[in-house]
Amino acid sequence: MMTRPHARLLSIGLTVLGAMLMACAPQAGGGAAGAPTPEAFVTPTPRTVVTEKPRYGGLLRIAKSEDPQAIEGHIGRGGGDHTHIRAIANHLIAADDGRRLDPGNSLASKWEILDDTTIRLTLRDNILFHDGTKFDASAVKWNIERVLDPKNVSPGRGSFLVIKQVEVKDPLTVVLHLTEPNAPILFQFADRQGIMHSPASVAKWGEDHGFKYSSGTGPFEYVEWVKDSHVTVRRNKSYWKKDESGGQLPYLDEIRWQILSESRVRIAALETKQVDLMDPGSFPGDFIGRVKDKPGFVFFMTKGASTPDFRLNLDVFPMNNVNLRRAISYSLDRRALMKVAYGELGEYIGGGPMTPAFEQFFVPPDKGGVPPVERDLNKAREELKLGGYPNGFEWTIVTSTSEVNRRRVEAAQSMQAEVGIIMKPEILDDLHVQRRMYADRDAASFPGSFSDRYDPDGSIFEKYYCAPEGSGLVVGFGSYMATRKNCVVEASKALLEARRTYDLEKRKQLYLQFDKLFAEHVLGLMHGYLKRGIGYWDHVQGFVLGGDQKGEYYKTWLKQ
Amino acid sequence: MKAYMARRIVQMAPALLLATLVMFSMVFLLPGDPTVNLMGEEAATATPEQIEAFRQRYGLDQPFFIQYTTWLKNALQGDLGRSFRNREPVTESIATRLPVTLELALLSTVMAIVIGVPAGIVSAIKRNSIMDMFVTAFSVMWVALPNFWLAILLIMVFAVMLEWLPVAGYVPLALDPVGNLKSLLLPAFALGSHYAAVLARQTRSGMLEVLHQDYIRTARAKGLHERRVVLLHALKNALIPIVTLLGLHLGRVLGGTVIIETVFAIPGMGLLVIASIHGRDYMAAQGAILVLVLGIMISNLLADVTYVYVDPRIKYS
Repeated sequence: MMTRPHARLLSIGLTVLGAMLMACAPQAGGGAAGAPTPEAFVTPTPRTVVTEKPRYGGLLRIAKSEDPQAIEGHIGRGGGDHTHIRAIANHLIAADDGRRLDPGNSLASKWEILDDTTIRLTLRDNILFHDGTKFDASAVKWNIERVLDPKNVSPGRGSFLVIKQVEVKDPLTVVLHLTEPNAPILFQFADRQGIMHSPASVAKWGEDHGFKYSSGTGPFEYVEWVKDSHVTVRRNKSYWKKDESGGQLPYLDEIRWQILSESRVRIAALETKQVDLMDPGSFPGDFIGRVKDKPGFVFFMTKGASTPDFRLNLDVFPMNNVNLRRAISYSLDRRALMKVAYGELGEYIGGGPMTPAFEQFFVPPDKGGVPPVERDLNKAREELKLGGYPNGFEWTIVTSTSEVNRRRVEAAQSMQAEVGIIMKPEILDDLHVQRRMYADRDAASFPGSFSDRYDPDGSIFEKYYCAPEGSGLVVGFGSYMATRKNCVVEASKALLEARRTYDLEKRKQLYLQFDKLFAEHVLGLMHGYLKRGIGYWDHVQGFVLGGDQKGEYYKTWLKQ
Repeated sequence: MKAYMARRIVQMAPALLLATLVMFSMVFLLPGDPTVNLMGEEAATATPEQIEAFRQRYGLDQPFFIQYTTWLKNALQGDLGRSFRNREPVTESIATRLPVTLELALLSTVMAIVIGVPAGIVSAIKRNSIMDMFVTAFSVMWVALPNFWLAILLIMVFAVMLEWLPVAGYVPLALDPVGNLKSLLLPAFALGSHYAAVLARQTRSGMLEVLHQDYIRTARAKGLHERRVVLLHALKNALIPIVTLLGLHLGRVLGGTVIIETVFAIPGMGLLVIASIHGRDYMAAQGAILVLVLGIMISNLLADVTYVYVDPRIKYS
């Protein structure tokens, strides 16, 4: 008979053995490619449902994969910065998770388009920055001009260049004068450049603003940012928003984002409730299966809001030949690519660069949108003949060593090889990959993944607008491809027109036209759409997903 | 002794200088334009004019040796520059992170000694017993375990399955001493267990050698208690090679923090190095590596000095 100490030893031994097997085991969902089930394509995004009376107090602990670059709206360019910035500061104009402008969450209570180039903004009254200074029209003017000042090297500057003048009419009225009609401008204020910081705090902290302190009018105040460890914010007791029953927001006392870069550790922290919630964007696709069905765990996926692709340079072989682009396109099994690279978070349903997350603009394939490009090796071979390379060809893709890029490049390599196309990867670091593509412009392609902005213009124009000499098109602000020689002028015209019209339905049709031209001319080798996994324990209530699919916590509360 | 110490410190200077030269060259040895490497994300779409402006602003248009000597001069005055990643002065980053790494290193060393030395002693005394075979087999296996794998395994067992300890993160000592100890137990074990295994093997062989010496036989013949013979007479002499190992171990620990601190999200020097390299923040990486190199040199010096105290036959002149 086994004695108790022996039984305990055996139990611990078995536990260790189990753990050793788990540590060696392949990650769920990240392995073999295969066609996903139809359910994988339809993942509803639950909106906030509050069934109990919210409770005040508590610390919300969030696991996050990367340190912010700067907790500042105007400088820094990290995608992981937004969630911290938005806890501390507000946008002049905010957007909801369907990317519709949301006056209820904006510092401007009203906006009116007076004519094509004049917009009047009415501001909320009685709003204070955390440092006690007043938010008013002169603060708005100061913030916009700070973004526009070239010496601040703000990444949002390009989107504000259309603003010719910011006129302060009175303390609560600002008029924007534009150089030309610009429909996306209101949405630009929902991005990081539209964040309103306190002029007094920026003056006080100088270069350290955003690194040692960050100011705003938001639901939480900056406490500390211990680099590579955590960011903490605490409740702003005089926040300007109230809940539906008139109660003061926010409910939480504190939020702490714990930076856990190792994905296994991040998921283990969530599993053991060391953290309450996984920051949207930090949920590792390979580990969804490990937690999603646990009792008391809430998991859902957002609509696809990023477009992983092989970005193309149409001036360089073989991408300067439309038939060869089509041959590569037909050789790819996009569902398999998405599955290999992103596990359950990837999907391919057809469509173009307009992602399903743009609820006002996206046209699904079954309602006249772009149908999926199915893998067809016969069509690929036909295109090779038409392109003058019946036996295939060799080409080079520049790529970084990231795990996701390695997986999709290797998968695409083997798919193309079946029709004689030899894709050779040239390994560089991320920075030099982008430089080769956008500055030196001698690379044919690289694996990219672009997260949506709040307006389709921000997501699509920058990547695909081009204006070759003699086309009559102007070189657009912020377009990487502006000076390309090989260009589908019709597609660029659609993008430019969509930028210049305020009519929503007309814009929708123009973007659909662009999506169709994109598919016909293979302007990029999109793999599909990338969703975000949102996961938390059910004691977290009132979680809100922002317009950029980052978390917002002004309505969040803890049951215990 | 003092003269010896002074001579050793002077001898460290050229080695340290060489290390700084290699570190400083790092950014120039990477593929591509060093200015682009230093610019980070901004460089992806920067025009040649913007790159040139950056080059001039940070003195990168100067010849390599001018840049190096300027950096060295500033470093000697305690200015290691500012992080390109988060604009924090590098000396400030180091000042907040070094105590964390030192605490982790100290705890891992203590754990290694507490586990390794007794295991080695027992193994030597009970030579060829099941216990001896167990310690020998276990220490051989442990030496071969990569510490990142061990770290994940420890998290799986003690944090996820048994839920005894936190998965990751660091609690400052001043804030919560118990929480601090809990947050460091797994990383310290992952870092120190390799040394514990080496120490067990070294202690065993050292003890076996010493236990057959005449003076041990004499001590036993005098009727001394076996525990006194082993701990007082044998162990003291078996400790000499262990002290050598301690110096080497400290160097290894400082290197090992790069992985362990990343896995356990401990904001120490190792995480600073890895985060700076990932973020192409070469100014911070250079400063952090400089401090780690200095730490290794100092630990080797301390090991040499400790010899004198554990072995009276050694005299430094």
